Amino acid sequence: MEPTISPSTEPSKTNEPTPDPSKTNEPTTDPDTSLLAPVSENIRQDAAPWCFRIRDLGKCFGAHWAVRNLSITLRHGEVYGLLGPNGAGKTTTLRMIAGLIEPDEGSLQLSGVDRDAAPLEARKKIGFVTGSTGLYQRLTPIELLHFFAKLHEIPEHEAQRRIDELVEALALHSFAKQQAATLSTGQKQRVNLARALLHQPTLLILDEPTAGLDIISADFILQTIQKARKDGRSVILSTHILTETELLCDRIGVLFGGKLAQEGSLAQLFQTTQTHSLAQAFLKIIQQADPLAAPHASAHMNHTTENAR
Amino acid sequence: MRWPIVHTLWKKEMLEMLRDRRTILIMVLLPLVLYPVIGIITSQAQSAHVQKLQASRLRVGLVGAALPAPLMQKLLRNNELEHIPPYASWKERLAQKQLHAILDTTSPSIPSTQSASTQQAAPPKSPSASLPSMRLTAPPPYTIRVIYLSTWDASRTASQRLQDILREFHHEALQKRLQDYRIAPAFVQVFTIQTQDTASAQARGRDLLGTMLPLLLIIMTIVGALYPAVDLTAGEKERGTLETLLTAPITSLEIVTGKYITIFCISLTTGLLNMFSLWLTFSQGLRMLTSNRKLAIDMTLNLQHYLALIGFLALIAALSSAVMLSMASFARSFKEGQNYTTPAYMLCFMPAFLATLPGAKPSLTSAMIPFVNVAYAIKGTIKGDLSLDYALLTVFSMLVVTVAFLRLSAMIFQNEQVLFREGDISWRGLFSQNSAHPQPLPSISDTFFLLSLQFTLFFYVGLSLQQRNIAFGTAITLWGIFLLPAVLWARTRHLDLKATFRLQPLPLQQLPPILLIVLGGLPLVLILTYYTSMWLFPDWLEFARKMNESFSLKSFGISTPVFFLILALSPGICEEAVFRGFALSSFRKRLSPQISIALSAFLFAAFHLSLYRLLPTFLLGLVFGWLCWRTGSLYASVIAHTLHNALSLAIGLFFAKTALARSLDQQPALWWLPLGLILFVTGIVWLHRIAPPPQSAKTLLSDPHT
Repeated sequence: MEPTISPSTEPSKTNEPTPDPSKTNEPTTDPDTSLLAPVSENIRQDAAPWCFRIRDLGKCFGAHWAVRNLSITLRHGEVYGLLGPNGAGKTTTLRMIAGLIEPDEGSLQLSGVDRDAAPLEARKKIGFVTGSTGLYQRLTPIELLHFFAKLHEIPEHEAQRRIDELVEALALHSFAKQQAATLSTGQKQRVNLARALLHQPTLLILDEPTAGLDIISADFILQTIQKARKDGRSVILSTHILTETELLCDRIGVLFGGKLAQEGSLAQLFQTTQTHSLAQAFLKIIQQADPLAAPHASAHMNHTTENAR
Repeated sequence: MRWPIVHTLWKKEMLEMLRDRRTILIMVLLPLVLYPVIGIITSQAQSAHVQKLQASRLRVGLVGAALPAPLMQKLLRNNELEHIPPYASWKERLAQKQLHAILDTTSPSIPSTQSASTQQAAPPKSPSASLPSMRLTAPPPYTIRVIYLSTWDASRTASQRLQDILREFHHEALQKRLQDYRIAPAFVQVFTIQTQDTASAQARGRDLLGTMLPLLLIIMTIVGALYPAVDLTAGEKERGTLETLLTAPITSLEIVTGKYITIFCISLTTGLLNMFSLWLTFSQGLRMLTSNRKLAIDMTLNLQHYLALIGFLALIAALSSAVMLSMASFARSFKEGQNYTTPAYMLCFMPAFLATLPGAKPSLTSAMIPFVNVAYAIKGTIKGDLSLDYALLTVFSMLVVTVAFLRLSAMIFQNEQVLFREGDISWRGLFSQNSAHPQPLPSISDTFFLLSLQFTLFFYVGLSLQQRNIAFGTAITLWGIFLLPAVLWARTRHLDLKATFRLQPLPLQQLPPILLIVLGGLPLVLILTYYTSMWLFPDWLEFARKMNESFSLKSFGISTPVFFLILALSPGICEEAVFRGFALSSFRKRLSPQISIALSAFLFAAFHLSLYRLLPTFLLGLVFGWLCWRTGSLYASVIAHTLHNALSLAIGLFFAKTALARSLDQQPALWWLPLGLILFVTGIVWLHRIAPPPQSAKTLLSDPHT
């Protein structure tokens, strides 16, 4: 196991001081901050050009390594797409990043916070939404947001301000005071996103956030992700809908068998795989990693994804 | 732990639970409405039924000779009589419920010693009674048999009514007969019997309450914990909300605490409402019952009763909430949660059920058994015969077990395998670390299972062997029941024997401080034990005397060296291997040194199966555990344990007569205290200085030499 490298010992090209972790989560005092308040300037200019970094992450279930030697680095405002067939280790990876499960190997750093040293600090910088995330059935969205604001130790008046803005931005008005059991799937997912943005995280982890949503709801979610990116938040997105990946992601990593099989921008992927669509590139990468897993990078597959687009 | 966060969690959980109709149903509606309704309906239906039976006309069969006319008149007043020939199948007619009862006069008459028709009244022997002898004539008595069917309530009532009529007639006939001879009715009456119950109406009421209330309260309080426990754990997992909560910047301990307090509140409220409602129903029902009968029962309780009851209910709620929380945490879905909690529920209230059986007597041992002790304590509180000792032991034992279960819940909540597992649960994985590497050290579950096995063997085999032959039985117990299974277990699980049993060489220079610790520790333990035991157990001296007797050369009937081998060296090796080797190593894998040592010491003490010896053995366990952990070598504690036992035995054997030994043995003199303390502390400080800092379990293993 490699020793954890803390930001202070990290050889940096510039001599600028490393960001003070306590400052990064400070609510910005800028009067016209939107709910998706831009991540504070001091982070963007800090010594580490990245916002989030995992190194040699590994997780083992029984005798089987679900994820191993996984290293990913994200810049501020970057959207990273994590692709991979079912069972490739995407959810395990995202759960490790979110701090839900403990990695057996490797380290994770988030804008100057080492997760091993300060797990709770790290969680404050992460917003986590999955396609299967539930809401408390008998709480209203407003109650839910207030509850999470308290857990994040956001001062009362500040919490109220942010919740008002989130209700506005995510159009929660019509059902803000209805118990969650009565909401539709799309409405629930909007509330979930509001919950994940409430504490103004630097990193958004989205595990199939549009799973089971209709086109309108899904589009709303995607727009919100775009806005979050503009505010300087980094996003890790795992999805099976390749059009979403193409639309949103600055970089794409293809996970297979717990390892990163290929990583790069859309253009880079096309170039290395000599293909013209993400579906083809994806299949080709899987095929290269394990010829038995995807026997034919078929034209049929290509055709269907083109249609979907 | 940040209490504002716990408070936030608790508030949210309470809000959610209270908005759930099922909670309100179980917590409030069920006790407040169900009991009175059931009580009123059953009591009214019952009394209406009885009245109906009393008033209805009876169909009575008559077998044999006709009865006297006045009696027939009495019988016919409200009923129908039917003559049945003796050979008729009257049994069947009764079984088919065509007749309520049968009067049978065919039975043989009471054989009288003298002919009844002409009876010579014996002349009174006292000289004062100089009445002339007179001849009394009367027909011989005959027998009337009332035949009824006890399984049919109408028949039972009929039998009672017929007997009443017969008795009334018999009384009248007798009066008439006496009148004929001008004999005063008092003449045939030697005495009358009267009974008087000195129990006050209040005492009777409390007896009734004490019998019924404990079990119902325990059951309802556990039920009160069951639903919220499953809903807040398994239910949350099923609904996918737990994941969100776990990504919030809060610790799992805070989550568990918030959930636990919520379950506790609901469980306690359920218990209190049940208590209130039951009491109301009972006293109301009683008022209705006693209004027409002269039955004085008073169920009022005073403030002290209520406070004590609330306290015990809180204990029940605390423990059942912890048990239910830990059981339900295993489950992934609501249904699975119910599967896990139901056996736990049975396990909790069955012992309590036994305790509430009539004739069950509380012993101090029962005060250590959770739920049994509260059942007795509630019973005792209401009846007013609860001793303070019993109450305190109950509180202590309930709290200890509660803390243990809370700890288990926290462990489960920190275990990601349980939180995010997909397949079936693996018990091995539950207590061991999530790791692909083979386990060279025993896991906590290993210890748990090993000790359970050993305990069972010890209890059923070892103790009976010891009763047959104490020397042989003790040796077999130590080597065969303690050491052997531990070694075999370690071998079959492919554990690292050297690391598991801490078979590290002990540097010679560490021996002197160990000797000091033992020498100083002996009087300290003796003094502490003596004074606390004298205070706790009134019969401590008697117990100590018996102990000394049973552990004497005489009772063992063996030579002195063998005696020391069996009672000093064998425990030193075998018990240390199990409790300081196996158990401590497994605890150290996950727990802090302090908790590990305390836990192994507690188990060590518990295995001595005696409440009297719990404290001294626990203290010794702490010392041995510390020695083993600090030196990293089992030999340290083996030497200390052997030496301690040998010293105690030697005092009893060789120096029993000397004043020095007496000052230590029977009634330890307090002047030993400073001496012991100096030796003990010197030893500890000395060893602390020269022994290298203990390695953690993990580094112990990564060292290639071990």
